[in-house]
Amino acid sequence: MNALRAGLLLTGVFVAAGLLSLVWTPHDVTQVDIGARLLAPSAAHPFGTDHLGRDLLSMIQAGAAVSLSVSLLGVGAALLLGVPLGLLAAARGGWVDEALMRTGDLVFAFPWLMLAILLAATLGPGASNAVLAIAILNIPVFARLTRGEARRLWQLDFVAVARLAGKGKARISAEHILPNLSGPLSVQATIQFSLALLAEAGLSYVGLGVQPPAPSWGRMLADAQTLIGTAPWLAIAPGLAILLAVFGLTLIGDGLARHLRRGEGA
Amino acid sequence: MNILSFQDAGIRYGDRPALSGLTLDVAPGEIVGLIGESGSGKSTAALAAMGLLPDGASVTGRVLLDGRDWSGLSEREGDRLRGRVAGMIFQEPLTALNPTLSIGAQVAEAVRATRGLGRRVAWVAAQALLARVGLNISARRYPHQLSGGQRQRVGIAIAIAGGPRLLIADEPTTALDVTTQAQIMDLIVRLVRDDGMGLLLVSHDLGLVAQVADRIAVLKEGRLVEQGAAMEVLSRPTAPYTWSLLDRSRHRPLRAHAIDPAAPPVLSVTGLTRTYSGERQGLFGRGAPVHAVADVSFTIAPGETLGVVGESGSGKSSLLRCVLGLDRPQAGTILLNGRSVQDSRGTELRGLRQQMQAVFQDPAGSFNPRQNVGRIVAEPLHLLDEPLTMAQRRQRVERVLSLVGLSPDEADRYPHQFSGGQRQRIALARALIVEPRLVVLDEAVSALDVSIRADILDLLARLSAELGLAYLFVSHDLSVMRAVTDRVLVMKQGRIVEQGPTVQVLSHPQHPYTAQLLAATPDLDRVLAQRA
Repeated sequence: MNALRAGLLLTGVFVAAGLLSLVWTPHDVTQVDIGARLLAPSAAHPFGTDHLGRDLLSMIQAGAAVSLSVSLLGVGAALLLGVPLGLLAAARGGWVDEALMRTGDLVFAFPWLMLAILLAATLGPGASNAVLAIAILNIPVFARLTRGEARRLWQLDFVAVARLAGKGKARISAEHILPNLSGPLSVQATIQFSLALLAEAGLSYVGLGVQPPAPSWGRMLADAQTLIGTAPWLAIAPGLAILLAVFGLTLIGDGLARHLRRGEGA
Repeated sequence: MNILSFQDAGIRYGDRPALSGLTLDVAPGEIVGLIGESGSGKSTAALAAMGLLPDGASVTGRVLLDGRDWSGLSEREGDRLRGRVAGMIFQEPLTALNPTLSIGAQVAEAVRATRGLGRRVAWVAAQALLARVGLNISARRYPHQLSGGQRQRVGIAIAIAGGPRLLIADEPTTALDVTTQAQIMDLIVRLVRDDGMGLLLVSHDLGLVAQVADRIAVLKEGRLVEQGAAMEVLSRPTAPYTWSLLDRSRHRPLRAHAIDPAAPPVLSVTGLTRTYSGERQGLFGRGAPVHAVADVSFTIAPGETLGVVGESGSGKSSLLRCVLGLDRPQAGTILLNGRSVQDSRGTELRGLRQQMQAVFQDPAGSFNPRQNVGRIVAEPLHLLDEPLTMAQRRQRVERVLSLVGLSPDEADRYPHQFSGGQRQRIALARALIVEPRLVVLDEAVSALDVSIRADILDLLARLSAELGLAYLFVSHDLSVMRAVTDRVLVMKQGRIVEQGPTVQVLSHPQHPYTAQLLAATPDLDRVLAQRA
């Protein structure tokens, strides 16, 4: 089995689990059952229960929906804004290019967690602000990649031919530049998606992501911390979920990159 | 004893045979030219001789270097042969050198690897080698600071560092300008003769091989079609393929001469000047400005073909970009059928652009790989004032594809499915779809094999005669210039040093630079006459 297929399968499991949680989970994730607190994994609770007696499997499932959608929205928004900015910088050059790229450098200059905390502190914690933080951090990533590749493409003869055909810069960017960026952009997007998952978990871990009672992998880890000696499964389940989801996405990115390279070689 | 010997050698990459049944020897002191077009297996033969075949290549028969079969050698034994017994000169000197090491360090490394000397001694030896290949520059310089010719000299110094008895040169001068090419070939031949080395010279260029080879072998699609003494093969070839190769390389299309010198010119360029600001030096400083094109003037009559010859840095590309309106000159006027290209806007500019289209050299960069041929060819239709219906577009695309000798069904295929020659036909179809009066050809046949090149030159001549097209033909290749142009401009450092009717300029050059270019260009007939 190649990397691409393994990655798609692994990520597919999480996406399916997340989607399923919207209509059904084995147990209600908000239901507190003190009698069933801190149960070790068993047939009724395959991943065990937490200090409030909630079913960990159900929480992981619901957490998948939250984590994946926050990351997807964040990276999607960054793509929608970053790619046009990169195209603009490459097409216009000069001061427009300089201004856009230096602004991007400014974002890169801040440690991402600090920037996210700054945002949460000003706008308040919550899922939508986590999306915003992820988007802002990823816009310059896509803008820079797009600009670099686009500048290379602008040098090619088929762009010169399009200019001879009287086409303007916007039209050439849409017709000739953007379609040839789909490969590198899709690879980068999957990599950023996996990083966004980590970021979302990190934000939830420090309490700035999704707010309770909605479950989240990062907060599950934070809650597990004090009980790790008595109930290690509390940390293992969300830890593995984060690890495997990121691993799946990384495999997709890797496989896509390899697939594209092979395409070029042919 | 032969230093290199192929004995019924066959090489396959997976299922694809690259070379079959090759039997060829190179003796010490002998120069053997290995000639072939792309896909002939000539580079595979060179790699096999050095034991450098990529993984997955399977070898049948025997390839012997200094009497030892590559297939029976371990990795270490092979490393000992490479460099000590045989050295290799590559086509692209920039990628053959490590950009992060000084040239002296790279030559010294080759000395240490092949002769087992200490660092200090190797460095001294490296300096001697650099002097021997005619490089009188500091050994501490880096590849990017060198010109293409200088880099190739470094590559040669590395190849001879171990005192080999055989040199293998795969298209050693193809990436270089003609005058540099002649100097590098002289150097290689001198080294080979001085040290009594054998030389396997792999090339597509008949004229180049004819100048120096003692024996010539001709490959076609992985098979040896002919080998023998150079003069025999070149003047009395026995294989039909060799004969056609010789014929095609000399090919001159029949051209109808119906140029009316009194007619108003299609293109008239006056006093064109394009200067680039100098390279950034440090934070605020800039180097001296570069005069890419300086005060260039010329005209092209309807139906006429004007050639522009120049080496790299001559300004011919900048000139083209200005003429095409892709770049703005600082001074001068460009009139297309009497209308200024620079001062036109909107509808008028679109109208002017319909009269002038272009075909570029690079077969990889000329087409958007995501578009099919139909869309590619239809691109300039954007210039029409009235948008066409889908059916009309399709009809025009099919008509122009047939005009350039392609089948109308090809419109649904993608550019990577075509050969180099077919791609240039597609590029030509794209240029012709708006029925221009002038087509700018930027090295449009330079990347093609000789037999295909002859076909494209014929096609250009036919289209010119049928449609009354004028061409602005830019090339570094004087033999192509001689074959297809009416008049020629010779450019050097942004200026025109000589212009006139092609026959006159190329047979009786007035400017020393033109004479130098002519002397440096390998010309088959001249070489044959000299060697006879």
